[in-house]
Amino acid sequence: MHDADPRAQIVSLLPRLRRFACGLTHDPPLADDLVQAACLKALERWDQWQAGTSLASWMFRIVQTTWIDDYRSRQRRPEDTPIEDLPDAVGEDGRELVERRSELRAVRQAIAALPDDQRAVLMLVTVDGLSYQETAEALGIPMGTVMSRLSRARIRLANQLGHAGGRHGLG
Amino acid sequence: MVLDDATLIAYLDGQLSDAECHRLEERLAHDSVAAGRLDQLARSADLARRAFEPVMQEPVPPDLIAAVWRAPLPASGAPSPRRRAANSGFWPRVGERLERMRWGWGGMAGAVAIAAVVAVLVLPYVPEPNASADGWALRTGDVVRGDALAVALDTAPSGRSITIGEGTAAVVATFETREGFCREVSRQTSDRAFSELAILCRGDQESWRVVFAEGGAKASYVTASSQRQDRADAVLEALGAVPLGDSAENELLAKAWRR
Repeated sequence: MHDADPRAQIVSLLPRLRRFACGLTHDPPLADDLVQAACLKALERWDQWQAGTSLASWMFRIVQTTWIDDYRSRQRRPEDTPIEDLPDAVGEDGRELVERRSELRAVRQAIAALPDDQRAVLMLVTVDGLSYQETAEALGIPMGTVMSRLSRARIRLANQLGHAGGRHGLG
Repeated sequence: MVLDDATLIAYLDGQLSDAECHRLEERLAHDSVAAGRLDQLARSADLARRAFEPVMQEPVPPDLIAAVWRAPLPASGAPSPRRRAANSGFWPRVGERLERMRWGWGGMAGAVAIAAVVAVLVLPYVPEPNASADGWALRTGDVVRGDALAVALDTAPSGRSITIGEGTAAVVATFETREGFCREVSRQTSDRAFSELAILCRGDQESWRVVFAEGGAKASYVTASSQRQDRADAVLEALGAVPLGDSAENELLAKAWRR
């Protein structure tokens, strides 16, 4: 259902925006600051959103540009990032949980180590599930660029995780 | 077809045509190295998704939701829900109020279709003790702070039906009283077995104190709720309550209830 109030539409997108911002910032409290700043910016420029186009793509773009313009320069160094503040998935226990925690931690660290532009594409396509076309619109880049950035990010991630886990290597 | 990483990734992302998929799958059946690489790429993508799943599972911080709701409504946006008391001098007759509560506040002017103005805002799930009347019911003197109901009272414009935990709540109207700013709220459990009407007044430190609360099972709803309305009105009159109009209310929401 679409609510006429833009604030309600934005509130419904908050979980996805937070996840994207978490990927960009690898710092959950900073991610919430970023999402809040982006939402307020979006409401100020609401007249620029074209009804009928994807609000999610438009919002992702504002999060991304706010990150680059206002936040990235103030970013903490990667070695200081408290990415492990991320809550762990609930409902599991024992050895599996420990293994999974350390594995997922390794994944988040590998994603955090990617260049910014590759990380944004990976978060939108692989994590959020946007199409290449939607991602191109969200980030304001050509589709070919989405594909090349995504390839580099995915190859790097697969290689790092493949080596770390010692499985599925090409040999 | 070249079996490079980019092609395997496009395949995993569903970006290849049916014909290309078919050719790729035939090649993979005879190329264990490429199949292994595909597996590696798929597994890393799956891990990337799962690595951020906890963010999707946790509730959105109420402060973040509140910040969005406190933002001024864009001027060019669709008309905000119009409502009641501002146009009617003082709070309207019991029957009118009841009717509007039942429908989640249709516009007084009738210019906007009721369905269009009843917005449902989903707040993060905040566990209620249980959905029974006992677990749900507010009592006079209770202080509400930090839960979904408090966020709704802090941030939601009157006339909205809001999903909270095991039920829904609609802020009916806002009043300025001798006790400060107070809001009347109507709640019901999601199974509609229990409903209540309450008046809460805002205290310091983002808390709301219950000054009137009366609930009951659905069976006695119609009779009980009109009597409930009368008793709520009596409490409001005793507090010297004056209903606030849209603009005054919006200003308060934007300023987080500071005068």
